Amino acid sequence: MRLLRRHWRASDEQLDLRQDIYVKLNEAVAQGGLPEDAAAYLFTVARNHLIDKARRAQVVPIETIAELEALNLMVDDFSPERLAGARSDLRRLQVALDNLPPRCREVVMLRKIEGLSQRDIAQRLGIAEGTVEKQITLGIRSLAQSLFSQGIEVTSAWTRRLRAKEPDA
Amino acid sequence: MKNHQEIEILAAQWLAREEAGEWSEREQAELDEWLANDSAHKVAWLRLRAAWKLADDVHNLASQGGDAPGLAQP
Repeated sequence: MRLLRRHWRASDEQLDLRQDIYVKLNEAVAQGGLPEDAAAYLFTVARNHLIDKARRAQVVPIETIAELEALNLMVDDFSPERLAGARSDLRRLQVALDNLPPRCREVVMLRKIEGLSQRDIAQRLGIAEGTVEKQITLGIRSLAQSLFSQGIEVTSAWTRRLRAKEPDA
Repeated sequence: MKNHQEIEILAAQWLAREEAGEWSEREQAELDEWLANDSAHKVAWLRLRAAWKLADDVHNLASQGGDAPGLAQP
């Protein structure tokens, strides 16, 4: 998503693109699995997809396309320092939970920590079951947003590989 | 194609409904049909389901840092 964000301005379109890319990946998996280096593959799919989109949209400035095509030169963005700063999964989960609105968070915690059913949560909080279900719906979306929107975890091995491909970069 | 947000909302609703209890075979069949209708449905549903599943790890947070997770130091 970092890649998408940097190279695609309209954020709504960005999310549609993300969906397109996931769909492509999903279809690739269905046809016989991802290549060994899934992250690099995903990166390539995303990059090609953006170039494709940019070419079709006449309004995109020509520099955007040039920038995308030069993307391999920009792998330094994924510097070791930046990678080292990547959160552990747990830390990321903590942040995701903290990001939930208070009522939603309460419901999610009762569900996940205490293992209460939606019905029990409704009774405990004195709210309708339908409200609990709605809060869960919101919680699921919000968690996915927090947990998955910060880009692929790029491994340093992958960075090295890309660098090896572009020795002049 | 519906936009991502509409699809995501529907996918989240399916997941929340599924764990609300009283999940019938008929509902399962409806969900299966919805998932089969469009790769985008399936992808959105899988993505959200993965996130919801990851939240089970909250137990590990709790056992590490005390009762409920508040903000750890920055």
